[in-house]
Amino acid sequence: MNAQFKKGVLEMCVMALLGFRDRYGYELVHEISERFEISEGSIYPLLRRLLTEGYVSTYLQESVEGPARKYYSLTENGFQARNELIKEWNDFSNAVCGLIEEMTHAER
Amino acid sequence: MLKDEFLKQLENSLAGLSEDNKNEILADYAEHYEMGTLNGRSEEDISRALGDPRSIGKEYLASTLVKRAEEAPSAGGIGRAVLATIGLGLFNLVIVIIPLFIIIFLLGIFLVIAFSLGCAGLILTGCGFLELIGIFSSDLPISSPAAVFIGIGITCMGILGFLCEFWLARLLYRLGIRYLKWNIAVIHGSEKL
Repeated sequence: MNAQFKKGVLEMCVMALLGFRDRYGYELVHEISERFEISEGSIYPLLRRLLTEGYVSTYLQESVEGPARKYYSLTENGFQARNELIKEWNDFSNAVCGLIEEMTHAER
Repeated sequence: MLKDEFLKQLENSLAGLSEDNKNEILADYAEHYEMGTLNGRSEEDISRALGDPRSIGKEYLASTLVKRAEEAPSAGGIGRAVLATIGLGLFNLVIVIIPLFIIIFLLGIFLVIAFSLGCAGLILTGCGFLELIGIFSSDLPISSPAAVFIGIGITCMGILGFLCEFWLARLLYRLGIRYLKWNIAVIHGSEKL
């Protein structure tokens, strides 16, 4: 998929994942890169932007194995932004899917 | 590329950020390497998936400078933010430079109009006044009191123009910041300059 196209939806994917539960950076990268190919390094600048915009907060938590992990958690504002983004995306993708479907039927 | 090399290149490209910021960012990537290694990936493999550390650094720099320009508005601040965003890639250059020229052009035209109105108004008021007290006789097609009043009116329009310019500049500044943020969030800086 086009790189320009993916970067724009990355933010929404991260927020959708965080809306479910708090996650650490590597986990987010892993969850997303399992579904579609991303340049993994771009998640961290994105997380930092969300942090400075006040959409997420972070906390460190020790883990049994390996280093302490930095967890990201959606704030109140973050939840609001997430819901808006997801709604916009749903409207948009429904419209596009509807159009493609209609045109596929029309071709036959 | 190995972990140390990646972190070193990233650190070099973060010059200009505060030490605290820099250390936090480097710690995020160090944690990423440690987690990846725990999951059985090689450092080479992790680096490849992360991408170019220099373009990652540029992205941090651009969003930090935009944030700074937003919090402490200044011409120099927005200039640095624009340059940093443009530096992200060829595509950014095109889609940032064109609106930038339009903004500068708009503000320039507005400023010229406000300045001309202000000057014309002042000159007309001056001529009318001098004629009124009899020092000076002009060829104005209107009576001197009318010239004074119309002159004052035009001067006020000029002042109003300056206020509009100020208001417009503030509005465009805010919109510009939002546009730069959108740029950084959406445009993938894969093309190198």
